[in-house]
Amino acid sequence: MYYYVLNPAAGKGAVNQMQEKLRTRLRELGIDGEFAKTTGPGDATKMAKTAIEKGYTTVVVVGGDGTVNEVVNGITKENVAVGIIPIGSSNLLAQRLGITNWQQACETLAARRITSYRLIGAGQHYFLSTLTLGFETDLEKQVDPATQNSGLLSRVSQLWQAHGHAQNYQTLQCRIVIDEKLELTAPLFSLSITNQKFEDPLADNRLLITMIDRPASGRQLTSYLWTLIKKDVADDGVSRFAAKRVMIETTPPTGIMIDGKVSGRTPIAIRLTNKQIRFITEKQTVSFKHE
Amino acid sequence: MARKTDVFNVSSIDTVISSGVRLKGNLASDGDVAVDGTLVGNITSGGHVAIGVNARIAGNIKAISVQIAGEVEGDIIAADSVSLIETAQLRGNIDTTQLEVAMGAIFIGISKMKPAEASEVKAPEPTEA
Repeated sequence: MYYYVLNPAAGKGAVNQMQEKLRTRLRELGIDGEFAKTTGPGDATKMAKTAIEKGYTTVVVVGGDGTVNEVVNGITKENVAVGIIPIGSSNLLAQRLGITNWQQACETLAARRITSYRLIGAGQHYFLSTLTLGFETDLEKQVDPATQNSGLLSRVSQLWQAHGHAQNYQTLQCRIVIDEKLELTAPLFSLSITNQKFEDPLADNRLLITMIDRPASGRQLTSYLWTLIKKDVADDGVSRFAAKRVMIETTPPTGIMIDGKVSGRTPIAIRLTNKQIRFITEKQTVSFKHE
Repeated sequence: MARKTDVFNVSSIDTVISSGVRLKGNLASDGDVAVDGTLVGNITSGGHVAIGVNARIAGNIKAISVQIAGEVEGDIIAADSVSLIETAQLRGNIDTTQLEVAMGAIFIGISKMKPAEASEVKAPEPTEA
């Protein structure tokens, strides 16, 4: 019983061109179902609730991170599985589940490997994947979206823009209270919070906080920005720790971004909630990385 | 001269505190910990603790093994080993089974060594040709 929540605006309308191919593939795999199209913000949440009321146990998002987050907020029963067919302009959540394109996503849905992730609460918002603040967040707002694709020229253009922005970016003063017992103060260049289970499906659900120091030299800055543009993980000047809850204050207050969407400002309290979402994931449930 | 990378391997460490960070309170982790910043408080780890060359720790450290390149003022309890590399400055006592102090390291305190438990090696049973 599959219910597909399709965002026709996702990926600048890309879904409209491949919808027939997608439905054919889903039929071949024996996982076709009911399709519902969103018409505006908040629709996906309502549709997920409707699907559950109708008795569907699998809700599949055909869209990007924004639609996934809306659907997740409409999941009211823990026996419901959520799948993703990534066709949005931002597909970070799907990537974190090991899903990189719609064809692979269909295979993943058919294989139906399930991993549960706990939602993260940030003020009044709930999210699954990533909260960022500082330089990365500021950069996301500044860089021309037209240049955000993976071609080499585009990446060089992004690097140029990012370099210019970094020169003028003022480091924030940051205070973080971790699990109400440990106080951290630091000059903050960039910070991100995710569920560490996205890094390793066998790990416990914990907030994984990653802080990046301001790169000390021009060469280090270029190296860091290139890492950022390639969406790799920076290693140099990194602080990283796990927690169940954190309170973040910055001077001056700054905007935060949740899964690519601007969603409030500091100070903010962030906590791991008890609400779990069961995702259909490509990632193996057995990890050998520590062996 | 010790470098940050002598004790840090960031990608495989669970908790990492870089040089610009100041912490107040006790830091506890089930996994490995690397600190290159300033900490006023104790560290408890279920794995390896690496204190980087820029680190200043005022507190006790309890872990399986501890490697120090920076400054520590506090006692160290390590079930397995403690290693002070050449830039280390430790003012405190050490309780461990294996201790290594490099030339140039400063250690002001008392070390209490426990013998490692000897493991019995059993000869293989003779087999018939």
